[in-house]
Amino acid sequence: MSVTPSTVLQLSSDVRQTRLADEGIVLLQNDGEILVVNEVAIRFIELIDGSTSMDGLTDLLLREYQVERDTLFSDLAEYAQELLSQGVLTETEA
Amino acid sequence: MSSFAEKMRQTWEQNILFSVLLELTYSCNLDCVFCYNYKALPGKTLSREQYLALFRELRKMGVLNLIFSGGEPLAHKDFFFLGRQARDMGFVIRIKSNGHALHSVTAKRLKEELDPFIIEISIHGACAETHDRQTRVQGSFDQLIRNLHALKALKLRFQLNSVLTCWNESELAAMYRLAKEFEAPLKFDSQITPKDNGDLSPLELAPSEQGLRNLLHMQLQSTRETQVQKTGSTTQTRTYCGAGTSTIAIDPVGNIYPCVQWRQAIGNVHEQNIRQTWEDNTALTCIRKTNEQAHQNLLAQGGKAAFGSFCPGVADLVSGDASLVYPSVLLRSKLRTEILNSIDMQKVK
Repeated sequence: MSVTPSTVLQLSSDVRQTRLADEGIVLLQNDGEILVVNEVAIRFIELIDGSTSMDGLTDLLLREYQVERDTLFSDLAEYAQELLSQGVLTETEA
Repeated sequence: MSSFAEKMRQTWEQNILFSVLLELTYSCNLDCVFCYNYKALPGKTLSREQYLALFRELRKMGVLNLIFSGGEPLAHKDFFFLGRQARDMGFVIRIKSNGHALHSVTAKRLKEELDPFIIEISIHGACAETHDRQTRVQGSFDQLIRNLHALKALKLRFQLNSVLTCWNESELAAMYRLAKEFEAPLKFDSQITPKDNGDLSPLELAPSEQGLRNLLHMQLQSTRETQVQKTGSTTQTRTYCGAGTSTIAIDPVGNIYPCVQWRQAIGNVHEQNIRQTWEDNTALTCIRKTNEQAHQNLLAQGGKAAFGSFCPGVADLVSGDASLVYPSVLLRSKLRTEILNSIDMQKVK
């Protein structure tokens, strides 16, 4: 699947995460894998609520980071794709 | 990007609270000979509401690991309620249990409602005679084995924990074999600790020097380890361990300690918000300085072998000074050095 502006994502049920200093820790409980992610990534993950579309998430992050909208969306979509393949995220119905 | 190990070091260095152990109750369905809990602990037990407020605050502080312990945590009347709340708040839940009540129905409920990351289960020997002798409950070994099969069938992740004693030291190999059958790691604690009230009677079950040597040999040989087996400090950190720098423990009546072993209260949940306790606390500042001093004292011993076998909490109990290197650490250090040297010699040959 490809991540589009209308895609709605949610965290997989086995994912646990927290902020730690200027980075984030993401644990995939089922396979015991731990990811360390940067500040923007953990903020993105924190905002994923199973109801806000990628468009909405992009708007929320635009309020916090000074970056071109198209660039931000493109980066987020690429990252979301990576997280989907890692099992951190799943796609859901809006 | 940092590695996870670097992030954990960062929690120690910057005093970032990451793991909280909750002794929910000292009630237990077993009666282990060397249990360190002080069951006559005075004070008012924490209510559901207090636990929930605590969880909310801990989550805001970024705490990820929540460890339910006891006594036997499942013996707490609100265990499942609190566990569900903790799961919903996004904690990584760890459970320390004797496993006696974890039969298939309860284990299934545990998986569905709490979804723990891991359950740490106590095992006392490789046979019923030894296990039941230590737990002082007839049939507890057979029950545990049945329950371990149920956990495995449910794909619940668990590890086995054991304390090395003079009663089980001759069963080490069989215990490792048993753990292997369940595909579970087996972690030994080679240090029996006094009771939390200072009662030294549990030490009567301390392992012999030969028992200790056998355990260390098995551990070191199996891991082919020639460096520090890290459970505590490395030379790269300021403090010896995470006690009071990234972890705390809270007993059933709300007393807050730097760790489950180090029973020097730094506050109480009844009296103070956990964030205040963590961020503005003279007693905790002293604990952290003592932890740093302990690290220095260990470094002064010269050999790296002492690392991993020292515990400030035990030091505090046996000597009254949490930074003091106590005799059993020196013994383990000596044995480790001898064993590591013999392993190295075998490699050379």
